[in-house]
Amino acid sequence: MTTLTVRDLDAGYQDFQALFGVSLDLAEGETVALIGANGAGKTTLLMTLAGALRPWRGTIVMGGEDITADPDHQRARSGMVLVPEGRRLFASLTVEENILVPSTRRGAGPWTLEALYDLFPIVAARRSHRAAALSGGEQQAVAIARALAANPQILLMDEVSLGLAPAVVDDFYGLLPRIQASGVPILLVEQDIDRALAASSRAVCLLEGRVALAAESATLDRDELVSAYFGSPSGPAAPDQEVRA
Amino acid sequence: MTWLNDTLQGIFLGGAYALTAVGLSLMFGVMRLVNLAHGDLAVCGTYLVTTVMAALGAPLWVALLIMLPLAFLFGTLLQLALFDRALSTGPMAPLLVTFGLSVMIENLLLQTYSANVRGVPAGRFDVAAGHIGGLVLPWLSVLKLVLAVAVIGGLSAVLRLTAWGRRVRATSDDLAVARLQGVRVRPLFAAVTGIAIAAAALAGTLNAVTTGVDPTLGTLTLIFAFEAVVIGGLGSLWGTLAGGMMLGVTQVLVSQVSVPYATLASQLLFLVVLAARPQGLFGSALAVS
Repeated sequence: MTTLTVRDLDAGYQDFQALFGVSLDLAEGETVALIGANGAGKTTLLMTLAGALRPWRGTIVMGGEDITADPDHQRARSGMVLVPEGRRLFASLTVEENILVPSTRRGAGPWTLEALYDLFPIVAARRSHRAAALSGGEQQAVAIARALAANPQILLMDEVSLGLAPAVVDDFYGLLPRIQASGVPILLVEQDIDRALAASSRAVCLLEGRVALAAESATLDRDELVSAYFGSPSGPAAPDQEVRA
Repeated sequence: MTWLNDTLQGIFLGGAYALTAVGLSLMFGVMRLVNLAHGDLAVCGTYLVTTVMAALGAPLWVALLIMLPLAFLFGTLLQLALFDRALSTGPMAPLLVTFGLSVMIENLLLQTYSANVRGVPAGRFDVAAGHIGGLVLPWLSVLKLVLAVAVIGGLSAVLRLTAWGRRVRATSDDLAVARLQGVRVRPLFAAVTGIAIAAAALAGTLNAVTTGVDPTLGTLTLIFAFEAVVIGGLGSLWGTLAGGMMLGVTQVLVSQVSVPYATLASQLLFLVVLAARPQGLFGSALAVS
């Protein structure tokens, strides 16, 4: 069952267009890796899905409902929840307060405070510390716990391993299957392509704001990916060609 | 003993300053909005009280109970109709909008009520005082101090302990991310401004019992409130109480030596704090970065 359907999305900042006709689908329980070079539009796409940016054109349908016109807080309440790049915790709040900020008015779900503390023992141990006093890895765990606390319908994760020690990143990807097992579809932005492909069932590669490649992660052709990632004359991303994911 | 009593009177005066300033502090802490119409809005509340008292023949406390919800409502509407839009266009617009509002209010009051000083009759309460040894306890001043502590303590408790307060602090930390986590910022800001304006109007009215009120009083009110906020540390509510008290004590003590220099001394205190410790004396309860 498709939970998220994005069609022909154009978006950008002021007079700079960053996304051109992006389309993709996300099904129940599925993790899709969103890959691409710096500036390819990955974060813009996530911000547009989360509602921080208004799309110029196109539609976003979640759970059968057109949410294109909904503002960001409304999207979050409907279940489209973002783990922002750089974690962006509420610095003066304690860890537990951070996790309790998202509105849970949408109803109960699997992610109670207990379930989150069980998933991230380090978050439980630091629950009464100020978020600003935590290490990067701890902050990332809190940021993910905060997003899960809203019991999302769709989880958007932006560069969760950015700036973290490799061992901490290993820990996170060790936990990811437990989050996936809850059934929440995940759109995962990750610089490390091998990790992204290993953690996902499908991959979508953006090139200069366009979908350059969409394929099963397991059977992805490396050469195709390289040309979709870096762009090449023979690649599938001619400037005016839109490729549906 | 006189020095002790003078210090006590300074603390009372500081309580009045703090009660006047708490709304300014709250609005800055939560929204980074410096409301230059803060004093004029306080004066509006005072005029509303005098009008209600005259129209209904009601005592001060009844008029206050009628005025406070109206002030809250007016604050929320002001936020929804005006300040929200100003805030969304950068840091300059709120200053211009609130400055313009200040000028408009002053002139509207001048048109409506004339430039004459109006009294706020409080029966015998305005001069009644208790005595403990050589210490004088003017009940009105005591009330203002108690209200200042109660409002600041109550607000701090709400901010610390309730889900609403948690959302306010989260929004203060990072507006964009708070919205992305589902916080509805508009009603939250509206409530904050409502509380701020109601507190200012309460303080303005109680101060006017002693001094009377005229349409230009708002500017002076703003200056002292602003100084209390800055001395205490921008965005820190308890800091605002401390800032108000430092202003009050300085003013009363210096006035024992020379009355004309009392106001100058409090301005100098403000200048010294600003030069030596621009972030104010206290770290911020609302974590202003």
